[in-house]
Amino acid sequence: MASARIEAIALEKSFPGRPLFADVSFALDRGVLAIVGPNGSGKTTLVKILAGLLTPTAGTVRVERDGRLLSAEERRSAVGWSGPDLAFYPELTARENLDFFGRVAGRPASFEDIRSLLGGVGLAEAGGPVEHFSTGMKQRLRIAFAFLLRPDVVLLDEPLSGVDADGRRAVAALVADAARTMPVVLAATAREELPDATEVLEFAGRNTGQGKRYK
Amino acid sequence: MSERRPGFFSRAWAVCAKDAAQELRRRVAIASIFFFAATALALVSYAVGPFGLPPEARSRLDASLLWVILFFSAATSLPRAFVREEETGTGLGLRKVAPGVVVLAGKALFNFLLFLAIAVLSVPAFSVLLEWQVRSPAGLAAVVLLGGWGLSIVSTFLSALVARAGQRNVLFLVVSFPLLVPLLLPAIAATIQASEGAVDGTPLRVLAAYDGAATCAAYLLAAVAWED
Repeated sequence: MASARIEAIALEKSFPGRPLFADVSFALDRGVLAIVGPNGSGKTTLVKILAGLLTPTAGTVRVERDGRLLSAEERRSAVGWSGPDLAFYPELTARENLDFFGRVAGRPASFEDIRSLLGGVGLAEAGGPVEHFSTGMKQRLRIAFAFLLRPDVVLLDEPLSGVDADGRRAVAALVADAARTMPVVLAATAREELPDATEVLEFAGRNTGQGKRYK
Repeated sequence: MSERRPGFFSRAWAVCAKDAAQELRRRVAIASIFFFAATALALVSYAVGPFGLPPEARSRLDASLLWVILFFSAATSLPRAFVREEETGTGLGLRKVAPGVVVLAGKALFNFLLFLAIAVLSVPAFSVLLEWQVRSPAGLAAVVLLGGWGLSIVSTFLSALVARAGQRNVLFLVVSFPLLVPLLLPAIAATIQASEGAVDGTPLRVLAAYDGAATCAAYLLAAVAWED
């Protein structure tokens, strides 16, 4: 099993006329880092920057596997991500969606891999198109998406949003299992929503337009 | 997990196959494209018929009308390649796992195959309804292939460019006009030549050059157009 590390160095993000956060730094080899803060504090933006979906205004993100720095292209599959604004193709089934994302990523998953992944989030029996899924089922599929490409680092933004008690147990088990061998970053509005966090990064209150630092 | 890593074309083909599966399951979009083509063909044949021009005197008019039908039939679908990904929120997952150039290639390929399907049905129907004679079918096939690829790659690239902009439909029309007119003019000229059986190759070479330049530009700028 490869060892992985994610490191944020002096990350800063500003939108025009709207500074969001600055000087965010951390490093994680394994275990769970919880990013906690109220709505609008920049958690989702930070997670997207870590995932390579947004570019920071300043600072860098380093992802290493076995001590080797990964390129931006390698990080697409090495960093698993899910977030509340991740959507799936409504006409396709859960299996077809995951199969497609695996193929287009260049890492096709076998039928058994996908079945096991869907079983892990309690969607083994979900056969219809995603447009008929409930909010909780879509959230479970987002979690499965994060683990699809056998990542070295996992980032889950609001992983328990809309998920029932069974789903929470399934997500907690996946996170605990992953955190034993890799860095897992979770983001939520309340600390209680994040199971077994070993480190906490707390964001300050709602953005005031004045800029702020995490504490 | 499979050990064999698919290459660029396998990944692009996955995007093309996914778009095809979506369109076939939704049905409405494809039905509207072919309904538009059929309606345009019927109206054109009805409007041109009463003039009573002999077929040999109509080659310029027919070539222009054919491309109007092909262009506007395809235009109902082409701009939506990337726009739909943003509207449904699926673009985020796609950007996470694949570079823009792979997605652009797959979507351009789907648009090209859709254009060819429209052409395969429309051109014979056009020929029958308007008694349009093509003396060089090979020349016409070359025009449709080159013109179709140029239309597909440019429209798909522009779709990526405007997908996350406000007023994206208006923006697409404004930006596409100066880029697609230089494609449609040699396509019409080459169609006239194919119809008259006097293909000298000049408009086809212009089309090929346009396609090459557009494909290179799209390849180099795909990441800028669609990724953050």
